[in-house]
Amino acid sequence: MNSDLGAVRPPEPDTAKTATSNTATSNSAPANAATTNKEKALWLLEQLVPETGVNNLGLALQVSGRLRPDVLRAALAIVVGRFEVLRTVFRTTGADLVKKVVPAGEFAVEIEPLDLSGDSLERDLTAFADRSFRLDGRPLVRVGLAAHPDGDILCVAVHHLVFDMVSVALFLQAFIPVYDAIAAGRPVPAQATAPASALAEPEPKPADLAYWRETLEGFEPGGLDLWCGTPRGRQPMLTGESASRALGAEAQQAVVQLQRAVRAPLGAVMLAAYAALLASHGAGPDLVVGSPVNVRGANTAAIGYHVNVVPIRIRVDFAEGFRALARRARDAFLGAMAHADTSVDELTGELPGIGTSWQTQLFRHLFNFLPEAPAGELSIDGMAARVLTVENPHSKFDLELVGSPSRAEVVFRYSETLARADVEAMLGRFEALLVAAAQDPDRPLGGTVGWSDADRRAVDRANGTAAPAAHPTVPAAFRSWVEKAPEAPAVADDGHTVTYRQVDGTATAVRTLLAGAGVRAGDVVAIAVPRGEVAAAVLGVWRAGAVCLPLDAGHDPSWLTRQLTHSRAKAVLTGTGVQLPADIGLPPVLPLDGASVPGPATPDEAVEPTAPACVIHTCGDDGQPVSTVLSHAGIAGTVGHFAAELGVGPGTGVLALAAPATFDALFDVFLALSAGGRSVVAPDEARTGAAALRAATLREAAERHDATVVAVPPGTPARILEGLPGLTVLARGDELSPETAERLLAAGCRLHSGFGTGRTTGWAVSGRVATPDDVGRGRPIANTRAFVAAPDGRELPIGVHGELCLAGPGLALSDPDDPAFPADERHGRHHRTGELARWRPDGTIEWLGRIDRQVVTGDGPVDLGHVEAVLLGRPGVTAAAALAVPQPGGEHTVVAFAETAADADVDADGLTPLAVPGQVVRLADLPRTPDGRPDRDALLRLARKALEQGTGRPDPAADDALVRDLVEIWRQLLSTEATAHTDFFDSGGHSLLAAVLAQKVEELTGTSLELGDVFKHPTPAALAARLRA
Amino acid sequence: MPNENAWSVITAPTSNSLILGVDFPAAGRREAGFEDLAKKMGPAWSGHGFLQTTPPPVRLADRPAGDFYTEHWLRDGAWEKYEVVAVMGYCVGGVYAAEIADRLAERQGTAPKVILFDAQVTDLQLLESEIHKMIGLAGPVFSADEAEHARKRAAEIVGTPSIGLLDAAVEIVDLYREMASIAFQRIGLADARRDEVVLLFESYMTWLSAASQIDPSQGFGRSLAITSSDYADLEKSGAATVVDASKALGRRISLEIGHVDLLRDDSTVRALLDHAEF
Repeated sequence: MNSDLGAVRPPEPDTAKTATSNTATSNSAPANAATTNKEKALWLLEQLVPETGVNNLGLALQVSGRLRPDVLRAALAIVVGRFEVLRTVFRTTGADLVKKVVPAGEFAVEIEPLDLSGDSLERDLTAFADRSFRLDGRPLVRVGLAAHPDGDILCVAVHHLVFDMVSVALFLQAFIPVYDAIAAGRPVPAQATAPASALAEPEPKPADLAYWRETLEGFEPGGLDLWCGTPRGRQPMLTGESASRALGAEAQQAVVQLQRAVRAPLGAVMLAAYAALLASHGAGPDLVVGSPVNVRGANTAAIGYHVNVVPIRIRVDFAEGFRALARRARDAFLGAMAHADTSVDELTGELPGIGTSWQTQLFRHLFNFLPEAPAGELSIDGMAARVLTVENPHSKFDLELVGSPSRAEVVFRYSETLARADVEAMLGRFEALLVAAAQDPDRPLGGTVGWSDADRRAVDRANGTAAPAAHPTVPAAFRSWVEKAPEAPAVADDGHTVTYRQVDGTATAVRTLLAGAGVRAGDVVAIAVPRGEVAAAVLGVWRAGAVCLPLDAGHDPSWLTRQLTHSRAKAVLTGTGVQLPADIGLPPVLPLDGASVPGPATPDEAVEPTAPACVIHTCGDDGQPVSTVLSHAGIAGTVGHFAAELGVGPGTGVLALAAPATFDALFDVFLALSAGGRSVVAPDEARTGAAALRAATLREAAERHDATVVAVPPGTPARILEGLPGLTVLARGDELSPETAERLLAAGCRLHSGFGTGRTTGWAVSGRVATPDDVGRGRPIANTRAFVAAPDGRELPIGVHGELCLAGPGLALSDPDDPAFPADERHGRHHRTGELARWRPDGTIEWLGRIDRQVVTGDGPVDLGHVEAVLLGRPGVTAAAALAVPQPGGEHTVVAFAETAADADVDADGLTPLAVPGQVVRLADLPRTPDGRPDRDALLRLARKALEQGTGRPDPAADDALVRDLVEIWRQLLSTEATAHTDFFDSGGHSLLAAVLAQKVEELTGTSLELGDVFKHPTPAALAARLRA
Repeated sequence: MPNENAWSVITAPTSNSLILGVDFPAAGRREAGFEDLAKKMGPAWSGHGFLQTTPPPVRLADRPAGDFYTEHWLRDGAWEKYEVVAVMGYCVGGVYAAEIADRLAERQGTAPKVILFDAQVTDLQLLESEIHKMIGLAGPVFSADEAEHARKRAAEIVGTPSIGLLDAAVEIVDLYREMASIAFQRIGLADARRDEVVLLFESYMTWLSAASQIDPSQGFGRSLAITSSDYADLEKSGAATVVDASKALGRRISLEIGHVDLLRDDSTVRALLDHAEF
């Protein structure tokens, strides 16, 4: 996956230093001339999106009558005869691009019929202009003419190599008088036929080059991506769209005020606002923005490619006000203008790390704020004519601001990496930014930048979650059900059911037992009981005012020792049949069955909602337990919320499926018992063992005890629920693949996905999943607020990725200096979850995976959690873990492990190409840490070994010259991107095309090939091996 | 092992149990094949060997009868050592699959399951449609007039009163050669290349026309048929190759997936797991 295919390679150094254009003006035997780096840059870009008109410009006119084809032909002949540049053709020779001027007598521009049969005139014009020009010596001008009921339409498409936006008006100025004269039978005016040589661009000036070098020193283009939209692939599509916004009166007023206040020209004010907007969306803060500059100088009438895109470098500091930023933008803007005559493309290959591939462009954002040429009234041959817009359907930049001083409208042109909603929201924020800056040019930008009123309203609405809690604590909730329905079934376990009254009785006995053992309020009591006894044990601990530490008796004895020591547990409650190892240094062990001895009950301790209720241990990096302490209010609020969301009420059966020693085990039980429902214990076989067995066991337990609700514990494939139609399922959105969701929905399940972290009461965000697309998004649960923060803590608006932060009673209790739980004025104490998320316009939060699990591979960003979710969705896979293994050069290769008993299908279907692991390793058992989670250190060692042995090594085929040549043939014939492993026939090749392929390969290598060889060896790598054999 | 010239091995047998797949495995086609299916089925079929037919080297001029193909596949090899538990056919391959299953049933005493994917029979229009496909693929290489000529000529061929399928196939191949000559000359390819492509086409035409001489109705009748949405569309539009076949089919499972993906889609795998035990 480390091939460099698709990367734009810089020109070889020797060609990079060639002199500028030297177009021959002589009409005899024109020679090929070298091209400039700026011209080559266009060509290289075109190779990324072959067969498109990415570099084409179009102009169109509609007249109020008929255009005469004969006159048009004659007029065009005169205009192209006059302008040498329009007769310039380009040709690729191997790795180089050369050009020459075709003598006027030999150059003809055909007039094609313009096809207007599409669904709109705009699209028809775009389609005409977007047809690619071949750089094989053919003209780079195309003219189409169509009759139209509203008047004839003329459309001219020209390649950027010989044209630019300014040329559009110049062309019309040259063309119309000639047409008029011929149509009227008048002689063509002399000045309209005077030959115009192509304007040669000046030699690069050393002073300019020095300026660009100094300006761009140390710039790293890696930080230019916005935190919204989709990640950029290795192979861009460059498709583009536009969104526009008319600035309101307040914003227009603000722009005028700002020019005065900060003493900067309008362009600089707009540039500063644009830079602040980009930075607030994640680009920079060290930004380079491109800006096109007309470099015709005195030759104002020269048609051709005479625009340089200058890089303007601006550092945005959110601690500063707009005034300081606008000053810097002004200076950078003016400096760039002064050195615009030398294209920065002259430095290609010289600036380290810049421009070597599509991913490392010097700038990704364009600032196109130019005075607009007055359109004026046009007339042709006495007919009124109007200029029609010909939209280019591409965008070479992630975002381009198009505006002009004469218009109060801002247009954002954007590439396919951004969604329309993102861009429209950015336009709103741009306007808000101008208004806020004018109110106080010195107020630090960080407080306001990047937000519009619409953002604020949507996020505040989503966080309007305040609701009275049904019960302040779980014991209080339970007690209310004991009073209301004492004989209702509370816990069903393997055919045996106990009532609320019985659980209450046992809990009281436990409380008495604990008092007898000297347990006081605030003490930690460990419990190691079968799941059927969890409710009574935990309630008993809570009635003693103690804090419950759930243990798993099946865990390694040394881990249990560490847990007990670390927690300073006062006692251990053991349940029926549970034997803890004798040699682990236990505190007093209190068997639960000893609690059923009748005796005077000890009164309950008062339970404060804010007091600690339980402590959950996970295994830290040093092997020591890491504690998470959860409060009564947090637990009661969470189970109360989900009882309402999942429809749990009196009599509802809730499956208890989670592993002991997790908070999820308590959640399962008290989701039922705080709402009058029944906790149905899933047999152990439903948690471990082969997926088929788990599913069957679950089905049996659910049917036997009429369980209709289940929360899927972490690491459990939700697939095992497919045999349970009609179930209400709460699954972790980060572990549920859309495919599994689809199957569960198809099976008639009512599906909810939720999200929380190990330092909350399990779940903090949740929502109903009506379609598979809904997986992975939800709203904050009751009394919980969410926000998305930038690394510097700034709150981020809708659509922008950042760290999910949560506030509310469900957060773990923590030390005041715990960096995961900071406090600020606006949000109070909150939890930085380490999870990547964004707001969606509908007020839901979409979680995107752990921040420390987002890795950059050779093919782009990958979320390891997503890889695991897809693997977990595969039949036969019982657990999955994906790891990023660092590779030389700072990138990573993803290795995924699938725990599977059988030879299950763990291929990469269902993953986007970016997320395909370098290798998938099957293991009978994942190595695990003492608390049962996959052991990442051990996996990393296995992953390195797998990469050394396996297919994950960098693909040697990609560096093979023959393979590279073959890939190029693949690319040409298939008109699509290809790699060493692209199957010709899977990518649109067919037998006729295969014949062309065979012939081309024969020409390339001199080896005779049969068609059958192509069929048998359909990839460049395979065919190269065949050719060498 | 059965005759190696007639069968290619998708999964080597680890027991005496075999699955056979009948298809015209033209490399380079877009449709998924039995190899894709075997990959998808994974462990579910790991107990069986899986073989796929290799077409015999036969020319149209040999005017092969329908049983020429089945003879070729079943002739040699140690069949007595194996039990064929299922014979599958894709498209027109279903016709041959039915025939093979019938013969094996007699030979081995147990009837293999017949599983058909988009089972079709051959007719003249099917031959004609291949010319349309070729014109479509060649795109702008042909002028509108040339394309029109080819379409007209193909219609004439299949419209010739009482023309037989083999005769029509011979003429269709001639037309194909004529058009390929134009195309290859125009894009500057050697005649040898053209001949390769034409030979491939001829081989496919032979396969199609020989199938028309087999009566698959018995095998079709006891088959499990899995069909695609494209198949259903053709059926709705009244295409005879599909309508005639579908009338004869046994148990049928219609899936909402395209013809090209029929042998690689998850829903096919599920249908097979649920309904085809062997």
